Amino acid sequence: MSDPKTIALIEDEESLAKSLTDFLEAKGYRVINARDGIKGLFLIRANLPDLVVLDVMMPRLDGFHVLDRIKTGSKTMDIPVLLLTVRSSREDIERGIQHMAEEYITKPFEPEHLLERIRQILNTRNK
Amino acid sequence: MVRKPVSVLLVKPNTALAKSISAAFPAGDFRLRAARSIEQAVKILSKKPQDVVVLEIGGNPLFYANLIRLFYKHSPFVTILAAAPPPVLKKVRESLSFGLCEVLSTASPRDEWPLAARRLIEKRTLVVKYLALIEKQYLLVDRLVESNRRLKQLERLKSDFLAHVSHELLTPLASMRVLLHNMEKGIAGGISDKHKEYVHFLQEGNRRLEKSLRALLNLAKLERPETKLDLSKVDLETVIQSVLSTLQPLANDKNIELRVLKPRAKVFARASEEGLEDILSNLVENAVKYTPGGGRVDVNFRSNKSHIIIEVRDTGIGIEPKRLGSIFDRFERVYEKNAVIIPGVGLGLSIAKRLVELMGGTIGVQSKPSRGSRFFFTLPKAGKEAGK
Repeated sequence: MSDPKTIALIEDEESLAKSLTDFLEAKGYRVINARDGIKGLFLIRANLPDLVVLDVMMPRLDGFHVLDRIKTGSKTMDIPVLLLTVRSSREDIERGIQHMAEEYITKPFEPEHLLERIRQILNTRNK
Repeated sequence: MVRKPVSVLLVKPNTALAKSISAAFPAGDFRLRAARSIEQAVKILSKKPQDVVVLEIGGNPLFYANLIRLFYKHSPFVTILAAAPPPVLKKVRESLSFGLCEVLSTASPRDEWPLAARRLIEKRTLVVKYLALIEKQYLLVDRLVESNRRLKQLERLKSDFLAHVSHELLTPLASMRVLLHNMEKGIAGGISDKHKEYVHFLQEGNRRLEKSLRALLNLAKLERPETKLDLSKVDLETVIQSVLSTLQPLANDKNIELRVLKPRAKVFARASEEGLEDILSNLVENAVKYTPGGGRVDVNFRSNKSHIIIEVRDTGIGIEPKRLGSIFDRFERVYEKNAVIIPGVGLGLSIAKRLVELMGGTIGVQSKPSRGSRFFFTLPKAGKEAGK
């Protein structure tokens, strides 16, 4: 069996970060965590994960800014990003797409739905 | 009642005319003062306001007009009683037709003077009253301007508050949902059947909370005055079919028949597809909720020259006539008589109404208790310029 894929989870809400980590680890992923945008950016640059799950509303540096820096960094630009946010209006989703996120999921979400999207994104990357 | 004596200032009282005029004012009703020169008159006026200034006009009327303006400057509510010789009377009256001013002929009978002075004082009383009223109006305008500014500020605060509240309330719901999922699937270790049952109740509550919150946030957003919808050409049948297919399981659970009665030709509305879906799912979901098992819910639509009419009819419990007027108000709920409370916050119809209005249509209802309800709304037809 191949090495587990690494997912960086950048989320400031402790309970969501913990439960999602447990969930994704149970599904066979390696999960690394950061609780704010700046730490998240360092974590991503240092570990070059296979995928990033990124919260939009965060202290210090918000998700859109983190996303911009991931997508403009030479080493990180190919890492797929899945944005998590409570906003569901069309303008916000369009903003996420403009910032070149691979996927945009509104909170609250069904964990299985998130898992399905993660699998799909990682599968297309492997081809 | 004792009337306060009217103060009269005589300017240059040395002339014979001035003397005769001064004699015309009965003492007691009037208190006379004399100013030997124009300078002294101005001095007196700036120190102590007078009711009436009596002035003899000779020579250039323009000079006197300017002089009177000077008096007004020092004592804005002074009234001027001027005497002019008959040959120039008309000219003087024309040049002094401003302010609280009256011009009498030097040949006027003596008792004309106190009468004219009284008339001027009455006029002044009215002017002062009107000025007070105008000032009050200005104060009101000021207050309106101020409250308008504060309303705008509140509107901004409300938007910020909504963004904040939605984040604060939806984020813990998101955590709970993942936590509950982990418990349910045994990711956090095995749990008993009883625990599983509890978890299901919690999950159900979690979803209901989210739904209510979204409805609240949605309505708050729709109620902002600047909110506009993206309108495009929408195929009604497609939207209706898609809404009905998502609600079909709910209808199946209650054994309710869901039907669409469509016209032969295609009908296109100028609408927001997302908004139209919201309206229809609210109306149809309500119809299913409030219709007893074995009943029927029909959706039909047709178009006339300018509009499209869409109807949702059910064979449900209906609505009491006294409730019909407020059915589209926020938090207005219809409870069944036997106290079975149907879940929901009661915002669906308010949202539907606002959406219909934002698309340029109207919404209405007809109902008979225990016979059923008919909700209907109109939408503008897609014009040629709207179609693509």
